[in-house]
Amino acid sequence: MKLTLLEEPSGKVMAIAGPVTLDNCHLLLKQGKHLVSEGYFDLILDFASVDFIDSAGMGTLISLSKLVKESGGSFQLRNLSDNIRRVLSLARLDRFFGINSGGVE
Amino acid sequence: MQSLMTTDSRFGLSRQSARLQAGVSFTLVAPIKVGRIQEVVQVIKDRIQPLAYPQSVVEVDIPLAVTEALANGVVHGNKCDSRKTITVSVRASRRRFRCVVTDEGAGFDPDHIPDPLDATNEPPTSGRGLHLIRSLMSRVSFNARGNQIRMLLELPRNGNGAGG
Repeated sequence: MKLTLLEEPSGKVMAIAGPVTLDNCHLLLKQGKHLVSEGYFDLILDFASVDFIDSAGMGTLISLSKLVKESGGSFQLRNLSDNIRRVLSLARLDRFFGINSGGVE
Repeated sequence: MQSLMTTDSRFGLSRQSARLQAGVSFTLVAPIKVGRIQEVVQVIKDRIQPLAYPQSVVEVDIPLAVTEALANGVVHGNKCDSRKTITVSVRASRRRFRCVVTDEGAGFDPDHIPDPLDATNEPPTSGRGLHLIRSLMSRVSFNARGNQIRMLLELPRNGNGAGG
């Protein structure tokens, strides 16, 4: 997994490339916590280059979401593939993350 | 530790993939660490590739179910003890994918795992692996000790890309 940070008017963007799984999701959490500690409370995670996420990765997304919301910020997932939408839907996390499960039959 | 780089020596392949009525059958035995789970998943994806399963099955159903089963075995079963092995047996045909994952742990009672969907407000950050496996696979069962999960996925007869 590779993380690239971008600035946008609506918040700090963490562009992720590669799978988000048990063996690397701690890096995502660490970076997210670092951004919040520096005062970036509005986080956008760009999933355009993410093709796979497991339950540990989903847990990390929940942790980050809770962290920024407790800080009064916002948390957004964007550019989700149909596969990612589907697994988040299976995990019943689509509503929590404010996404629909488009592409799921 | 054995190299993961060469196709035939990965994970101490105990039985070479054998043609089995248009299917494949193999067993992997290795002291798998968390950082190597995706390598095991890739081995399985490579070996079932000739079966031409639908893309969503190859990209989501099988890799996610196997990932979760391996993670449970490595973390909860073997307690990340690098001396303990995980055994993965796959028997797959165009219509059925069977995968059995066995760890060396004491086992657990799958009926006493909290349902992650029971959370009324905030979702829990962990504990949804088994739920995902059950959602993705057609049938899931365990041995009596609880250190072995058996997963079966039945493929549709006319699934996309399953012909040929």
